[in-house]
Amino acid sequence: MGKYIAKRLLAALAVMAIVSFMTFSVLELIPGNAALIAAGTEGSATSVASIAAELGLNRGFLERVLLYYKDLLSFDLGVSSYFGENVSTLIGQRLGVTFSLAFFSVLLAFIFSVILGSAAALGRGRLIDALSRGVVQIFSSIPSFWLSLLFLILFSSVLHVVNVGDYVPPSVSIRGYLSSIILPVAVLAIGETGPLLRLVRASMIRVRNEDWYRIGKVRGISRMRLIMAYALRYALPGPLTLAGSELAKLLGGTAIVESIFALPGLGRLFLTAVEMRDIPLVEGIVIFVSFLVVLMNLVTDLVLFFSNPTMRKAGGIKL
Amino acid sequence: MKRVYSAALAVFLLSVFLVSCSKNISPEETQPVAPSSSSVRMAIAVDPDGLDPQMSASASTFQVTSSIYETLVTVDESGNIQPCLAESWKIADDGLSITFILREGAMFSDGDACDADAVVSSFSRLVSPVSVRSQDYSFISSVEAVDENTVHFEFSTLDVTALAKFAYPWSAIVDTEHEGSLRTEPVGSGPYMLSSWVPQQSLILERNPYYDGECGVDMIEFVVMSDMTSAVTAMRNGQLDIILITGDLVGLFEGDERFTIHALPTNGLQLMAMNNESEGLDDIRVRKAINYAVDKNALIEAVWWGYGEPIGSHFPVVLSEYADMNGKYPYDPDKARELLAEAGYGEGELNLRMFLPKNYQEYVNAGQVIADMLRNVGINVDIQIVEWATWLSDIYNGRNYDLTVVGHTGRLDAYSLLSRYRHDAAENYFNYENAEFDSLLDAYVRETDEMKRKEIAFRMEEILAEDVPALYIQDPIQIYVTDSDLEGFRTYPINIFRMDLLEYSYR
Repeated sequence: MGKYIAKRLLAALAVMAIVSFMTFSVLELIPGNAALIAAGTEGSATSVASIAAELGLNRGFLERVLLYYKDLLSFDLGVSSYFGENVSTLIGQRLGVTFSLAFFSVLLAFIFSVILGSAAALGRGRLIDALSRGVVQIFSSIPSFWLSLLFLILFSSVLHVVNVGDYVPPSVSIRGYLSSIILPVAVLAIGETGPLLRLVRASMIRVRNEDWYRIGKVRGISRMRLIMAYALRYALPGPLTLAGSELAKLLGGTAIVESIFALPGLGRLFLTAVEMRDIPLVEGIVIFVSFLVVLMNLVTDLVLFFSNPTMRKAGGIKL
Repeated sequence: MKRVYSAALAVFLLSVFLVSCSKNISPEETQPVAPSSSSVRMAIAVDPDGLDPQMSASASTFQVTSSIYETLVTVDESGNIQPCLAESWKIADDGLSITFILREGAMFSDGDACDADAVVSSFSRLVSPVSVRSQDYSFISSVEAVDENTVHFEFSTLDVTALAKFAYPWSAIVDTEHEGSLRTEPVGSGPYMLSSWVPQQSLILERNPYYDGECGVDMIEFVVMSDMTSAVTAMRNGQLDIILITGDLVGLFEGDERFTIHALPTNGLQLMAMNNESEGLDDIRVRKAINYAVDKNALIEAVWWGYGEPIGSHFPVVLSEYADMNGKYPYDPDKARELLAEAGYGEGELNLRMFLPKNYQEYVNAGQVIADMLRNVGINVDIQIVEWATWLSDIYNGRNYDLTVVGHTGRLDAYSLLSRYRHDAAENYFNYENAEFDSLLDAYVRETDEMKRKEIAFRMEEILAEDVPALYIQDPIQIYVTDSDLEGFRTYPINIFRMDLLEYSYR
């Protein structure tokens, strides 16, 4: 088990190295740099040169990359060229927001999907099934920026139930925290519900046609017990894997929703970093997020392993 | 059942991780500020580019640093020089030196004296290569502290606009003892000091305990809101006291007694630059045709909802040296077609590439409207929307373009504003060349007679209006909405806010 985790983490290191080098190369190829942006249209040409020297941009590409990796070995992510703040501090400040949004929206979407998806599968062809298919269609087609604006206007402007642009960490006030994230979480959850719900429904329909499910029914196991104890456990690995990868996806990118709700999250930081050609910040976020993705995949595998015996018996994961 | 517990444990662990991560933002940094008589919340669209005024060229930096640092002199709303850190000053008769007498007892927010020595070391840093503005201050040959409160500057060349250069926010006096960390931990002698800054969330200023002047409010909070809808919603809910809005949103605040609308032209201008070396655009007849082809009033109405003053030359209407050049090329599409034919371009024979900076929606919109008007007179326009960094590198610095729409911020004098049109200036992205114009620029900085200097400025504006190296669109009107109980909010011809002048009327 420990060996398995160590192996996975080692693979993560390789992934991070490759991804970060690719990022360096892409940033090198696209036009513009941080010095040009800092000088803008009102600075003079000499200021571009002095800013470039200050940021170390006058060094060669390989030299810059190697210097970066050298610092990285001592866990130094460098200083953001745009904000002038340590990259690790900037990322740290945003973890709370991004984790909250990603975790709660996926959790909400997952719970909702399991309930509605199972109900739809069991009542296949009936009203509940039509309803769930309608939900899938509608939720998958709503653009998140539009829904965000709609929520913002309805709940903040018309009903005055939540405030905008006031992120309150849970350590200050749980109520303020929930009120500041509830709208974006709802928007993201709605976006996640479509694919999850479809998958849950499909898995449950498959279970319904399994022989052991029919036998269970014939043997007189109560319907509730049959669903909760057997069917769900058999049907959930697929949706769980999807939820895990969706979570990883959201950790790296909720930029649109964060921007509209004025939340200081990782996605918005990343967007700014790329626009401002802030190489240390882009690299820092890329390395951090790729680590998270690898970690999330590992956690998903572990959760699957513990929640479903067939995964172990079938040798899905060798621990 | 054990497995279920394990799964639950995994979820629980993740939650714990999550909550502990959330604590990374310490409470005092984000504690919501209870509305009190002495705090002002203002929405800003982007974070400052660091808080070291000598190391940035962004307006967003100076809007904040102008409350933290002091310049030797400052300006009022009409651009007249006013005392700030310096109580008084004397310019030598030959214009080649200037002596400032500093306010007694001025102190930095860390308690150190902001005296003549501090001014000298701040300026030594400003003119050194480390600062991004060293070029602008290269006319200073020496700066010395005569006594504790007197600073003497010597200039190597005559520059009649020198005094104004001590008012720009980038010339602010910084505490050089902290020079390595000023970007995130600014130390100045201004009315406020930085209390906390969480990028992309908020930046809070509190009173500088060592500042000896008056302040109407104790705390200024800049809230970073990149989305206009959120800012407007927050303002209408009473969560904000000052916001900047676009013309289409004025209706939301008009007639509501809770708000005051301040709509005034700024010291700035927006234009469509033309590459004077591109095929076609190197012919003045084509550039004139483009000017005839564009209906500026319709353009300003379509893009800025009419909030803008049309201009005919590279000069903001708010400056005293402004001359109205609007009459040169009135909207006349027939005349435009005629000039194009004269230059040898029939219907659909002239192809131009227009590059628009994606980050500035208004410039993108303006470009699209202009392109439509140009197509109307038979010019083919190929629009490409590029990222700001790409725009700066390929268009502005690389000069690989035909047409582009952009804005420029104003300066206090004609020389600083127009020197980018000098034929060899690195900032001359128009590739404009006019020998008479170059010599007028030189004459302007050496002319000590104010009336004659004004004449030179008028002539330079006229030449640009005549040669049209660009299509000059408008001097934008900025619309600020403030809480109607908040008094003292003004806009200035340079990028500063005077937060110390704000106060609540009813308290």
